[in-house]
Amino acid sequence: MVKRKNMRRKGFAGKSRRSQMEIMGLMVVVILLIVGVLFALKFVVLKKPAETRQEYSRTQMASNMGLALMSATTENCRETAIKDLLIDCAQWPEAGGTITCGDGSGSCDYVNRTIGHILNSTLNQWRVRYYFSASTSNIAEDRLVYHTNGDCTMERPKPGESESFFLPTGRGMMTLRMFICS
Amino acid sequence: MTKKLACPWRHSRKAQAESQLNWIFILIVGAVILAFFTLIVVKQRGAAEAKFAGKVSQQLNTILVGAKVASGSVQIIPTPDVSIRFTCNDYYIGPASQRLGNRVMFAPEFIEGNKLITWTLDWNVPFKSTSFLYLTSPFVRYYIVGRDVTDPAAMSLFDSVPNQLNKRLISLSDFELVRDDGDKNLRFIFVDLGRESFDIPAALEDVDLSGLIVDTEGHRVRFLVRSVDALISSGPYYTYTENEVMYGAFFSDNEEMYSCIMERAYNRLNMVSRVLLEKFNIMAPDYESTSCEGLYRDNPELSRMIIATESYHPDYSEVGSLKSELREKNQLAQLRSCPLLY
Amino acid sequence: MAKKRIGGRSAQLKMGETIAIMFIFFVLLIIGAVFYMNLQRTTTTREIAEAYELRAVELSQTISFLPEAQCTDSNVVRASCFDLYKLIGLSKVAETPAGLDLYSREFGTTTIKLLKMYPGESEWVLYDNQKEEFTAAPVSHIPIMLYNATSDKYYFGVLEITTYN
Repeated sequence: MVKRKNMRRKGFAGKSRRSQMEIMGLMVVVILLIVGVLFALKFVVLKKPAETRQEYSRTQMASNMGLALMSATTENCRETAIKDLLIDCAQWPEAGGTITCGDGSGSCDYVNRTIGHILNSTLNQWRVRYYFSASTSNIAEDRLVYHTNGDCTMERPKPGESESFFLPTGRGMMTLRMFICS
Repeated sequence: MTKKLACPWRHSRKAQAESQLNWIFILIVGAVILAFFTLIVVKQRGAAEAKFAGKVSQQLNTILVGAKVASGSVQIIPTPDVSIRFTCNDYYIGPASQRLGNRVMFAPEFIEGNKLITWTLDWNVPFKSTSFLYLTSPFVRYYIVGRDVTDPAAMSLFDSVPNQLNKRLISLSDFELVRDDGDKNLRFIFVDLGRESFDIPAALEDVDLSGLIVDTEGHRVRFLVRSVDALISSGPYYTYTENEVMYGAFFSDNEEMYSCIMERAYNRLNMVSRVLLEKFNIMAPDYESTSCEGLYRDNPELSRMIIATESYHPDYSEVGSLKSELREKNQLAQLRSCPLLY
Repeated sequence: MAKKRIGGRSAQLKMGETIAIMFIFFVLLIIGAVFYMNLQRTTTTREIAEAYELRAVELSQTISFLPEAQCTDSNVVRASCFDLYKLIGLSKVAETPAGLDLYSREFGTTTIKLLKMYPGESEWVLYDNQKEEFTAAPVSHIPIMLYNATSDKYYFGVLEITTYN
């Protein structure tokens, strides 16, 4: 009887161990499935879409904006180009520039307003975050032109695309920087 | 006892049958599962190949748009080892295709291998009307065959095509001795030889080859196709007014495709002429009673160019003379300090 | 008889167990297949969107290097410069059936506008071929240098490209 009981107990224990193993196996399968699904979610569903167009647009915009801005002929300032006004302003910043424009303002004031107007009617309208600066030195107070939109400022750099242009002046090289934040 | 003996026997027969049935069941279910997964694998493989071809063709399209932009440049572009088939309006990589749109692109009908050579030239007639993109592969060998290797026309053609090409300059007598060096494709360009057919060298019996006759005096080309043992002329002579057009025939190995692409090129020339004519008519009022006056209003050269290129084939001699007339007018505009025509 | 019944019940149980396993297996397989198909759909949708983005990039490149738009001095191209009068000419030619046929192969279903922003403001539609039904119409802006050949002045302009997806 005792033997039979032991046998039964052993049989029960064996069966129980087998079912435990089966459950373990099932758990492993379930865990593997979950891991697989999580991987798929991570790499396929949650993958950030490529920003081909946005990146290209930003680069192209920064470059084209700077070029087009510099070359534009002013409306009533002796038919000078914006870049010529910028150079004049950089050479005589204390006097506000030597060129007097049609409305009586100096080149510094005129060029600042004109660039502001162009940027306002384009990038601001398109809700592009940017900053544009023109300066012959790295000191913030010496900036001849500085326009910004949104939280994209020179002081707090953000990721984005930029393009720099250089204009020779009597007071060193003037750097124009167009930065488009992403 | 007999009962006891009979039972295990019956039991074992039943167990045997059960085991056999079990195996049959496993085999059937296994086969079904295997077939199911095989089907999935086959379908997936097909889909992956199509996807790959689509991606490659799309990326190649972007590369070709970029290549077209950089005029005068030669680029060697590494590609996956694929076969690209070009037609007049599209190109195909496996099941994927891309439209060529208005692009003027000259290429052999098939390009195989893992590299592409692109060459871009502006087509100035005399104003830029489009860019020509020439495409080939380092696995295509070009033999430029002259009367001899010092023949000026053959040498000039040899020097004018990019050095990155797999090219050789040989004489007609050397043509007979050309061997199969394992190139996928051979193209023979016969320069000023005055013959319409050429016997294929014995060593090239099994090689894929094509040819072109270039008549530099008459400014015309004619395509050669392979018959059994000779390269014989196919289609008419095509006149070229610019070398860029001749290079188109150099790189195309299909006469119909070349003709179709050139039709597109002349169509573009016609359209650019129309745009310029419109431009000059807008400008004209600003130059009334000035020395620039006659240059812009209803510009006769452009009007004639539009008529000359209205249909394909254009009036080549008229296009040729208009080119020099427009060039002269452009110089005149420069001399009189007027805005240039182009 | 009792033994037979017991044996039959056990076989039925075994059969039931096998069928249950098979059922669960196929249910898991179907769930997996559905999940996979959904993933594939997401990927394909994204790839289509990327293809459209790439197309927009190609388009802006094509326009930027169009001979009937570029500023030239004896065929020497001025970078990032567009000839104002050529563009106005192009807008007229693109309205003709032959022009629309040619440029539709180049630009497809898009609308391209030229905006002169400074000095003064003007607008020209260079090309217009709208899709009748579209899901989205993203707009790209390309600031450009516009050259007036008669006054020898440069204007600040913008090319506005609407692509219909």
